[in-house]
Amino acid sequence: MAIQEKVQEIICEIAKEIGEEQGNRDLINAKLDTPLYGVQGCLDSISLVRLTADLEEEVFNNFNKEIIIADESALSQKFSPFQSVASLTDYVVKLINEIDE
Amino acid sequence: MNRIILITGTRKGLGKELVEYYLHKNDEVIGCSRGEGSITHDNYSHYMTDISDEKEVTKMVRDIKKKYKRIDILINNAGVASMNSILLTPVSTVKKIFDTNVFGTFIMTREVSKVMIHHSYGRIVNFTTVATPLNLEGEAIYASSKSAIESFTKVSARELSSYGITVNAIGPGPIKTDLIKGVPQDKLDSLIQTQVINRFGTIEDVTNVIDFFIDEKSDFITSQIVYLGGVCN
Repeated sequence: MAIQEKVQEIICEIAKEIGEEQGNRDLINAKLDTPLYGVQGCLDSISLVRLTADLEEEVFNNFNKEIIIADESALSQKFSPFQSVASLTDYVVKLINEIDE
Repeated sequence: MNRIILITGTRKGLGKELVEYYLHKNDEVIGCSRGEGSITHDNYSHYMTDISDEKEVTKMVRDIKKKYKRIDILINNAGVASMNSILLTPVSTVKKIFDTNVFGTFIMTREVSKVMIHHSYGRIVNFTTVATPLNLEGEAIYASSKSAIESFTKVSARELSSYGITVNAIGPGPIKTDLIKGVPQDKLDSLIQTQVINRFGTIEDVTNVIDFFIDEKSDFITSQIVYLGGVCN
């Protein structure tokens, strides 16, 4: 499976776990265009931290890569990589590829 | 169940004493320092880690999580001090002090909190100093770095409270450890005279406050700065 697909799958899986805990259908059925954080986002700041921590761990478990998901624009409405599953997938794939360079 | 305690700066001084104290209480203790560990005990593991290096810390915390599954308590003890006039202080010294005292504490807190939130429980203790409220001459950079720690303690206490994590800080006065070995005796004597109780602090004074902060029952105690010897802000 390509990195992009696997990362997306991991994000959706974590979103599903959080969604099940919170009874949030959008998160349970997360797909590429599901808004995560910001306007109409499904996550509050507490769940966002949880998603981030779990995602770093799963990336390590699946790809053996240590990434740190900390970004200056994390809480920005316009440029945040946490806007949607798609933007977060792109961002994480970029971090993984940067390690390989 | 034994508590899993992670302490930074454990090769010598106060950090080493804290390890020995908590090992004596049957806790599982993990320590780190730039150099090799100086304690051998079945319940002690040592990591050679520079806490101001994000990658080294991430690797260490991941390894700890793998082995121990959780971290209950983080004691951000590692610190460096420097006594000098600001007119004679090189920028390299300022960077070195902020690297360990501020950036190190930040990185450790961020990474360990990620482990703690999974169990909705954690106790974090930071170290400040009486030099901060007393605005001591010659301590501009050290006191500034600890002032940053005090603000960091209060803000992180707010941000982490939802995850059952408390964050507090202890501010010892002079204790006979390596940290004050370069401070002239007359300076130490005059500093002790500014305290309400005029004596050197002891390890027991420090562990007494830390024990209170990390007690399971202290879940309503967060964002507090406690100075020893009666110094007030």
